Amino acid sequence: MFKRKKYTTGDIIKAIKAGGREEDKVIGFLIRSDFGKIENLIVKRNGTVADAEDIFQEALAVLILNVRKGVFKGESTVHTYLYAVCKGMWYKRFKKYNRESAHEAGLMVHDVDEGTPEVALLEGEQKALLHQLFDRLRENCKEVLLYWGMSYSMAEIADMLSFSNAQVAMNKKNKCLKQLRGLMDGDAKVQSLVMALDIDQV
Amino acid sequence: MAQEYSFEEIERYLEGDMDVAEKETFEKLLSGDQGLARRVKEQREAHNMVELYTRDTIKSRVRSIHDKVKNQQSTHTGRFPIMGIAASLALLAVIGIMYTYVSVNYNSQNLAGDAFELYPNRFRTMGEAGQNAFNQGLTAYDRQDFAEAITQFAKLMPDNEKYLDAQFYLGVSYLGAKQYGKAEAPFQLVLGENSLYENSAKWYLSLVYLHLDREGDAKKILQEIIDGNSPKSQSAKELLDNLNSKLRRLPFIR
Repeated sequence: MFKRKKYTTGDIIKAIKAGGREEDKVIGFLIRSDFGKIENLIVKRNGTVADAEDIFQEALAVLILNVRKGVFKGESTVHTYLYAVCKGMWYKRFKKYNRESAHEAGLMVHDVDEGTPEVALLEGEQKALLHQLFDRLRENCKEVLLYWGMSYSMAEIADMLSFSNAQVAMNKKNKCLKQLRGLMDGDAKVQSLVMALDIDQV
Repeated sequence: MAQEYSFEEIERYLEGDMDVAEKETFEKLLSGDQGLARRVKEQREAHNMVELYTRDTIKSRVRSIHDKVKNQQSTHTGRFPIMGIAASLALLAVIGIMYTYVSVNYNSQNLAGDAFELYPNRFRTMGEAGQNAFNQGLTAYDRQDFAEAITQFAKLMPDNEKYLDAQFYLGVSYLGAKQYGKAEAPFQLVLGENSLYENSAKWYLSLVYLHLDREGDAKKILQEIIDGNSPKSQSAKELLDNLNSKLRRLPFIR
């Protein structure tokens, strides 16, 4: 009667690409189907439920972004991918703060599967700094860069933000990116953030 | 002199929009031009900042969906136990009521108790009390003083013309006094004498057997009453039906 729909990896990719409500539904599905395993993984390795939630949400965001960018095409199942990303992120975070006890927690380098995407993890202050940086962008640059970051085509961005055509959107994106780069250059804190995150591998 | 690349051209490289030849030229230059390499690196850092920001924005949306899912789950897990407990209690109450009803109404002793009615006093004793034990017994019987009735009826000897009557009323009095173990003998005696009390004696004897947990004996007698087509047949049938009810198969009913 209230049976929830089960999604295959193909369905999930399709829904994420479609965006909107379909995407929200598969996010809900993945939370219900996979969070328990991730919670178990992290809590068993000295983490808290809050840590597990944070890591899992981050991994879902990575999945969504990588589906939209075409990086994740469903070679493995979404569930395997999410698990590997979470494991890698938790290893990274654990190693950062508990270098000495990583071994005790059973988190060794070989625990992290090959092919797991390297993901930079933002901590509280870094996240605030990042948002402050984007809040300083003028006009609708934040939206333009966000849609571009989500891999919408220039034609789609033009449509969503009422630009006359894709070329106008492209020009706007370049202008906004230049503006962002300019803000980054003039901000020592942002520079240290870039350094700290080893941002070549976001 | 090295070709000067614009921001937009570097963007085309980073976005993978250059054709193979253009890319080859660009990368050849990049490997030997530190200035260009720095600009590419800076632009890539800007890309990465956009990606981080985008990912964090997506994560915020994921978090809000996760919160909704958690709320739904806590509502379900919170509500269902209460509903479950309420439903279980209601079910237990219904089962309890049913069980109480069945155990009260289908317990063999209770069935016998319900079926028991005093045999009417067929003798006029008005003004005759004190004349003899039989009449004194009936007087006590009428006022349901079964202890006194038993004492008086027991006084009559077999040679007394009222002996069989006294034995029958003695049996009923024992039933009334709940002295079931003593009630069997007088009724058996009456039955052995082919008296007019035969069907009634059988009926009361079946009740005695039920009180004594001799249900098989009780059923056998009840069937005899039914087969005899006497005025007690209908009562016997109803009692036998109740004794054979499926509800009595529940444990602890008997």
